[in-house]
Amino acid sequence: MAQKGDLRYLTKRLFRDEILASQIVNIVRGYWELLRSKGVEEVKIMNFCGTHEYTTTHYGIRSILPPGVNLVAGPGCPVCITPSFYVEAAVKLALEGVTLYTYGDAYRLPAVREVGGCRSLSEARMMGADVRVVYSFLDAVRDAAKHGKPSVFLAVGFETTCPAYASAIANNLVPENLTLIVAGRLTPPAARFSVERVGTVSGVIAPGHVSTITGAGVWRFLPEEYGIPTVVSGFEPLDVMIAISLILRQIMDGEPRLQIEYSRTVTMEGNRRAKELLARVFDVVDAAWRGIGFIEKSGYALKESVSQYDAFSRYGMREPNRSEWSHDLLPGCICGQVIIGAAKPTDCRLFMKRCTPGTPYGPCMVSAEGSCSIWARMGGRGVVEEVL
Amino acid sequence: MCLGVYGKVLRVDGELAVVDFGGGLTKDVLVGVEDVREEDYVVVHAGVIVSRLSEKDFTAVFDFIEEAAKHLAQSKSEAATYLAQIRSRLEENLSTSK
Ligand code: SF4
Repeated sequence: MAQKGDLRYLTKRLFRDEILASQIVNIVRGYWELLRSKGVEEVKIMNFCGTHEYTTTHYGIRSILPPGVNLVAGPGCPVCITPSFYVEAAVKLALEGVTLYTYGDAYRLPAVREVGGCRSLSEARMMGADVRVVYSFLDAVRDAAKHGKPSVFLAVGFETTCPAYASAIANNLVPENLTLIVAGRLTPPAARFSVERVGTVSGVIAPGHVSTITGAGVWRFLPEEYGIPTVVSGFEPLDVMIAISLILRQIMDGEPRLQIEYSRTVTMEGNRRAKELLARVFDVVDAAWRGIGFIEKSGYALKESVSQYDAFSRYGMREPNRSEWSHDLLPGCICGQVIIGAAKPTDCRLFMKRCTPGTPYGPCMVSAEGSCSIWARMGGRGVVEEVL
Repeated sequence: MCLGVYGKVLRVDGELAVVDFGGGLTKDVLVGVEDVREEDYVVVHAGVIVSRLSEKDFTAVFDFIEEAAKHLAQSKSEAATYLAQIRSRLEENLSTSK
């Protein structure tokens, strides 16, 4: 059998198995009944990855959970939190004739202020700018090396995406004509920010792929400092269900700790090589998050030693500092609240009215991993109750 | 864009590797982990290998499920039998694949 032992195939079969799923639902319900008998009325479990929110919504996990088990999406979409000023800078450069590269999601990301009549890179392309959507940084590196024209990559992403930039820079693969607008961000500081703001988080499903790089160990502060049970989870529906059952178990035992459900690829230490590359190329600095503001030690910035790759210094621009940063959401958009899990997409008055996946108004509706876009395309629990 | 995709390494050439994503799709990616070899299963994220998939730990998740089923006094139930069956079939499948 061709697929024998193929981990790609086995993952799909095992972690989507219906009978296994029903057993795990029973386990979740069993724990929930025990918790209820102890007087617990609600638990709020937060995820920090757009892919977890996708799995949760796409597979209807909310609808098979007991009503008191509430799943909330935290900051899990790197495109949604990319500050408007990076988009504005990218649009400006594109309109001035620089070839602009980015990923598909960031291509449509709207800025708050118009630049030359354009709010996004997609609009700049319609005006004739040379904007190219790529799958990976490596594709941009190869393309830019071929044509040799002044080029900029709008480099968004969390810890999982940033090793691509670090690796290409550290290995001298980036051609002289290509520079980066570095908008990379780190998830643990945003997780800390969110659980402090939301206040009532009873459990955390920590991001599996971010943790392949950082190591699960970066999440230790959640149980240790905040008493929050934390499980690093994979992305198949059963991964998420198992993570929920582990969190409920920890709540029941009153022993919050860090567990790795996604042990098939995540370790406590993470990816040493990627971490070394990141440390060689980037400093970790205080950085702005869209709709939220500055979060301490939450962003990557190119080190002085590799500043020749910095688009801002090459083109005589600079990032706004803390005092210059201004609220960067359009009127009525509550993405700042949605991103930290303090509001649901359906709490926004514009959801599926002024703001839809076809005509996105706010950043959480643009990216396929934004909570508003996921809820709009697949529905979240409560939508029918709230609409009817 | 945070989506990690599982693939199988076909070739490694310094900092670059060719990965098969199934369905006839292969791509050049950057090697982001130590000691990647041909035939390894890896997680690829935005064009970089960020992690390897461990065959050894693939069934580790069963420890959690079985323990939970036992804990909830369902050890003699159909659930336990089903879990045990699937685990042993998987282990057999993995051990004979190489
Ligand atoms: S529905 Fe649209 S406007 Fe409202 S919070 Fe979401 S992205 Fe912003």
